[in-house]
Amino acid sequence: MANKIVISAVNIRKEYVTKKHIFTGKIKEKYVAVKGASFDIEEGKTMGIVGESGSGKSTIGEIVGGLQEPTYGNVFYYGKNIKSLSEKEYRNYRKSVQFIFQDSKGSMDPNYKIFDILSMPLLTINIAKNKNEAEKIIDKMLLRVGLDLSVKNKYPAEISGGQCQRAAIARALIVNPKLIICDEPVSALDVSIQAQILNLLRELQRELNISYIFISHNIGVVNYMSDTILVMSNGTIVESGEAKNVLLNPKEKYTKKLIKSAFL
Amino acid sequence: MSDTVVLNNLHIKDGDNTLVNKTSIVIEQGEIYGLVGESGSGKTLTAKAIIDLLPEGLNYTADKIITAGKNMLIASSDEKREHIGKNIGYIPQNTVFYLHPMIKIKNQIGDGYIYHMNKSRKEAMEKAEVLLKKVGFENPKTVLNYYPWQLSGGMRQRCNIAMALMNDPKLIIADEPTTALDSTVQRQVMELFGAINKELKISILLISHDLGLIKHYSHSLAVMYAGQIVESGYSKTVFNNPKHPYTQLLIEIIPSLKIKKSEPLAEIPGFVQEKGRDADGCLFIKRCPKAMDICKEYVAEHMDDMQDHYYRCNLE
Amino acid sequence: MRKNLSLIIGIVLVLIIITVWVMSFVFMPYNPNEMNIPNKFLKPDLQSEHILGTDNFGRDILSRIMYGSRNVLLVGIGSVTLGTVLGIVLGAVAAMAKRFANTIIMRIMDGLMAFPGILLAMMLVTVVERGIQGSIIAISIFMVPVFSRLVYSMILDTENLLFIKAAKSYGSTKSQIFFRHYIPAMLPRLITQFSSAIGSAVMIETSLSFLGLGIQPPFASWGLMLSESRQFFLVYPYLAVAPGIAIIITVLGFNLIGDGLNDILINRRSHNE
Repeated sequence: MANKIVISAVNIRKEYVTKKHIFTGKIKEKYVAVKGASFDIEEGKTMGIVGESGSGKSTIGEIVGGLQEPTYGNVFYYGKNIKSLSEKEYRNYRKSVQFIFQDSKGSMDPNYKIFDILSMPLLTINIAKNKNEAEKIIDKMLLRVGLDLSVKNKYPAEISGGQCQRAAIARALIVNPKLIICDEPVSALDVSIQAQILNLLRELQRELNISYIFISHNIGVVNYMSDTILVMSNGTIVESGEAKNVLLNPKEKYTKKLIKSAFL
Repeated sequence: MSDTVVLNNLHIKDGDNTLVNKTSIVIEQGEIYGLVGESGSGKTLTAKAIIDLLPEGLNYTADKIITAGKNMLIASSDEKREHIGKNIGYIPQNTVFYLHPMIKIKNQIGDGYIYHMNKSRKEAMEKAEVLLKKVGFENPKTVLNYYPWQLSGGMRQRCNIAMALMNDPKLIIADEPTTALDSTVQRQVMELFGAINKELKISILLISHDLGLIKHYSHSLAVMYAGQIVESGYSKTVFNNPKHPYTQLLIEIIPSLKIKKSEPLAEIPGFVQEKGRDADGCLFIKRCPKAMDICKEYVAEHMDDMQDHYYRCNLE
Repeated sequence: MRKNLSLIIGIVLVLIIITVWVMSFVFMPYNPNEMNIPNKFLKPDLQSEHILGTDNFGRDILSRIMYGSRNVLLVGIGSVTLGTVLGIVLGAVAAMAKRFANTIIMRIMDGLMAFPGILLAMMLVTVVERGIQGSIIAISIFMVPVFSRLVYSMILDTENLLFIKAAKSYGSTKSQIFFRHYIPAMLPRLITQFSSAIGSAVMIETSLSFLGLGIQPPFASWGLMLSESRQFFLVYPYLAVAPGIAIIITVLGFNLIGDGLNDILINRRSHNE
């Protein structure tokens, strides 16, 4: 039985206006971040996006997750265009697509303890009605991601980078998402910690049947995590396909360059 | 050939808390020396001790610190400062933000050169152009007129390297030079260090948490764990025959094309401890797959003079 | 604690004034408005019944100072509180709304700020009404642009931070983001500004009273006492000293607290980075 398609993107194009005529408002100059991307993401599978800084990979992630709107093109959530979702359906889509960022500490409000940071999504989406209900869910989640319950009372600044990223994963998981968009989740961590986080993400995927979009500049890491890969350069998808095919039989020069730099 | 750096038995304390213990490093003239370890292992502090840049509030002792020919333990503060300014190029961590963002490159790159080497502005600009070309910029004149925010991360790092080279230093210290850079750019920067070392015969101390990166670009290396050097020697020797379990694990987790996707990645469970670093026993004991009872109290040191291979472990 | 000397001195000074204020409800030696002509112009004498002396109508100066502290604090704290709340609302709306509302609000704020404080207060009082209510309204309107601009710039600083993006990603509404994230981020600076603003408000209130635009005679207010002491200054200078010192202690106290808090804020920031 074929897996359901969680997200379908059709001809996504993102343009930023850099110069406008001051009186007429006519667009004089624009920067195209994404030039026309189309892809499908199946339930329980990972799509990797690899490319250098400025290639548009993060932009695609943000568009799929609803943090940005595409200038042209459409994103479909379980077959429905996200622009035409009802309010209830939109809230459901919001809850189902979560993010993990490269700077895990920066993604948490430094004025709050980890417990509060994890309870915010629960209270916002009304999964828990008060802090007591939230606590049970949070405890379970912290243990699941390998953190000691004592981090609940710590501030993000007081824990290590690896622990913070685990907490960020817990926050993303805590609302039972269908898809997590991971934007360079391990690039800022020591190599010895990277393996821990990647193994954790894989275990969670198997256990919970979550889809990932895995974004990174390191094709080795992307290959390990992904079922399918998009290779991006300057906003265009230059190569795509099953991860192992792209890695073992790269067709494009750019892909080969990425491979060479990841494996010394 | 005299050694560029001789560091013997460095001990750094913050109040009562030991941060770095019994650390010794010898960097030979003209070699690239890699200092590898996780965050918090003490590698940055060790490098700073070599050039007298430790933050206030930390106390340190050592049997010997000879940096680029100067005995740092007996020199005065002024002498040390002058010596370091003239002979060491230091590129600290997180240097993508190191350059002053509101000043054009041309107005910062020559500062050290003009001050320490007593040169004129014109001479500084000429030298800067030469060095910017050397680090890979095709149009040095254009780059000099840029503000740092107009450059990408990799370009800024190359400017830092050019700036470090201005005084024809005997030693360059680069602390995590490739974090925050794309892997393709990381490669370029490492190649650049290799080229500088080969062409200009400058010794380089490369600090990194990534053993894979150090593997290809260093002649010798030292692996630090929780403030101590657990293994050191010529890179080839250490990689062919790693003796310490920590080194072995670090080598195992270097990504390769052969990684099987169906298996979990090799990982080192747990994390580096902050306290208790002055214990007599082995500090790696809680994470070591080969730990023995005796490791709680005593750690043997081995030094193979022929191969120049040192390690601290009770295993043979 | 050397760095916090400002804060400590400031707190001590403000505590002195607050004590005086509390005492004005508990025990005043005399009725501040009670005239006693035969006892007029008594010099200050710690051993007499009138510790700080009496004025030209024989009224006890200490009691008048105590009474005066009430409206100074009422107007000072009241006006700043009002101004802060309005300022926060306007600043937040300007920062989080569309271009049009944003521009209108900020340009009005700019216009208000163009006037020197006391001038603006005087203009507003003639429109509103003299007395305590008038002073409060006038000074609070003066305070609004200060706080709204502060809030506006702080929100603009914060809204691009990563954790705000994260909050949006799990569906936080604008008001949730405002109360959960923007307010805690802005609170330290707002508190500092609040304290300094009280110092300014007291200065303006005193000036208004001095000019006869604040609380009206025969009621006691420090500014009014200063103004009334002018005629007799060469002969009885002590009449000006008591209200003068009271004003200095109050304004200095709040300003020092503001400075001290500012230092702590800056030090805390640099330790976190």
